[in-house]
Amino acid sequence: MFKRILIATHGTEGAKKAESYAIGLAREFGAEIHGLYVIHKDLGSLVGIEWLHNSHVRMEFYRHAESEFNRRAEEVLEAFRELATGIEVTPAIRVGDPVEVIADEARNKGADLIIIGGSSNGRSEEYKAKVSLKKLSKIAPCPVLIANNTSMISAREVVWSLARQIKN
Amino acid sequence: MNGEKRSPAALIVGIILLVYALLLKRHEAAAIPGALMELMNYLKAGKTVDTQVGVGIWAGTIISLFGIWNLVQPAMKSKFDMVVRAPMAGAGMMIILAYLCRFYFEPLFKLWGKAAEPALGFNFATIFGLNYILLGVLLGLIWVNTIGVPKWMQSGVKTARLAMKMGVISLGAMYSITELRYLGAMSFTMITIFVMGTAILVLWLSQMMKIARPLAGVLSAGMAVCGVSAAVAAAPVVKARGIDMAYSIGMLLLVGVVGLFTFPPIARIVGMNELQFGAWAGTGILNSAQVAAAALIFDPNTIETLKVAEIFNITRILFLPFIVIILAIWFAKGEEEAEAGTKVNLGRIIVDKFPIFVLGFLIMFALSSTGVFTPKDHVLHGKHFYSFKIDEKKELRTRDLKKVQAFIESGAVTDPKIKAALEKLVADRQITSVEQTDLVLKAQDFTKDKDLKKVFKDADKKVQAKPKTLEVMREYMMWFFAFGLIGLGMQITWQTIRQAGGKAATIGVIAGITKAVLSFFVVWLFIKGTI
Repeated sequence: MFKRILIATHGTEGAKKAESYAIGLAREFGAEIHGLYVIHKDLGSLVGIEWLHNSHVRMEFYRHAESEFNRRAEEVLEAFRELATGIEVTPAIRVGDPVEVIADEARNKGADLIIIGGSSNGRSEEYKAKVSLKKLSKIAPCPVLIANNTSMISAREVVWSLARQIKN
Repeated sequence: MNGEKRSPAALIVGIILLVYALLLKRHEAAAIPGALMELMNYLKAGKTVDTQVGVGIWAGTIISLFGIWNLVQPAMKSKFDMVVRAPMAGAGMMIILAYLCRFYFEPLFKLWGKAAEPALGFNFATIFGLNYILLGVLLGLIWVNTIGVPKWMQSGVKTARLAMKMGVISLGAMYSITELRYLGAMSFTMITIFVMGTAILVLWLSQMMKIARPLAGVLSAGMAVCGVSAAVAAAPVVKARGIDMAYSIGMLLLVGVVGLFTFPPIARIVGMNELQFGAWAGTGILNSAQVAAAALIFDPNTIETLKVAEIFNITRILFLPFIVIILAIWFAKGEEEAEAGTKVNLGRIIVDKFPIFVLGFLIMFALSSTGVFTPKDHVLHGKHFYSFKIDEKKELRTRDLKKVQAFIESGAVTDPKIKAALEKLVADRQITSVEQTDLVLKAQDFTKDKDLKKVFKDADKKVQAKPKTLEVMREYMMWFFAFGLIGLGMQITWQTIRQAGGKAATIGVIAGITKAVLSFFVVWLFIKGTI
């Protein structure tokens, strides 16, 4: 049923749940996984109010920030890849609005399922941003699975309920 | 980026400005008495028509011309296009916003404040200081957090940085040597204590709460020196992680914004003067742009508060390279095993992180003290320029002089110096020196007669002079600041503030409040009098 699963992860608590779903489903269906890490576009305006430095200092900061964000993204994706032994994982790091990037990436890669983490209640070590699930469900080219914080149910159950939803 | 497409935005904005200015100009000539002028009269903004027309025509023409260019040939990626052509539309829009705030919203709130006074028991417009600077910052802040800045404005909003720099540079011309020496010494003492104190406090708290060193480094620079700017300078040096930067910048912005909106009303309630508020804001408010904003919110009509606050601000900024060096050394020590090869290059840090516009400020000050901006006979004394050239216009009326004569003869003045000054005033019919003007003003303490007090004040006022060049510069400076602060208001996004979190938030709140409260008491107890 699923051939290509797109997982958007940040390595946070909620995303970890999504990661397990993705791995479970991929194993079940023999699907391949696209691991996507989105660097939020608003990180670029983090230093907005700063005004007194010359462009040299700003550029140094931007370069440093860019490499840091990329390093973090690589770490998260690498950890995911290690978790998903035996599954073909292609990682991707992209910058932009999370919802738009996820939908776009799913379309480009021909994904047939998007899995994302629900909002995590605990403290997150990541850039905080609202992801509009409503918007995502509107522009996504395929079904979206949201891994929430409730206890794990078996992947099969999820798929059946999904399949029922799609049918209706 | 609005780069590749042909954009009509700049032309539209330019034409709006031009049409508005030309309309006003015709009203001024009383060709068409209309609704606009009535509104002006209602708002009591009639006096500002000249400025409005002047700025409108200049800005409107330039922006329209660039607008035509942008429409015919799309702005490309060349440096000139990115720096000059692309920002035109946004910059024009911000000028329009500045117009709205300065000439419409501020007078409107003044009227509303007065109207609501009987009902509320106080004038909310004066207590909250709802002047055009505050309204501009608020407008920018609300705008960006609700509808967001549209694409065609984005590169224009970034020119706010340049405007702030221009503002501070022109401010350099407004100081006298005595003022700068006095303020410089005061700010150096206070800033040294508070920068070092805060840095140590933050590092200590970080150790107590077991925070990672990079985060502690960025936070201490930001809390101690000049907010987000310091964090930006320190982050690469202490190799801050991405999330550390988000945490600390969110925190700094939050504490800074709270300070910006609470300092001026508190100061007004306890009755601080310009010097005290300038010193407090310059020490206690985190972000350097917000210092300027707070000073102008407290007192937008004279620039005294701004002058004090900016000296503190600049002193603080000058500390930045040194704090970065200290952090670099502190950080390198902890990371010895990691990269023993990378040594801290002190010279490079100082040169790289030195804010060049401070040089501009000093150059303006130097130029101004050589007297190129002022006519030869003008002397700067205290807040005002004076010209003592003998002139009939400066003379007091005969009946006022008679009053002064009677006052001298009454023997009420015990101080011989003041007595001599008054005698000379009667003889010359006007004040002729700086010392004399001080003494004549002091003579007010010896009488309870209101009319006589007014005579002394008038005598002083009559020899005050307004050097044209400086007046014009001041006007432009206010535009720079208004423009810059609207733009910086547009960069205060909730999205950034909400990143504040974790232990960084706790430390930030503790250090921010400590700094604000302590500096308040230091100012309140030790800084008395005026400039």
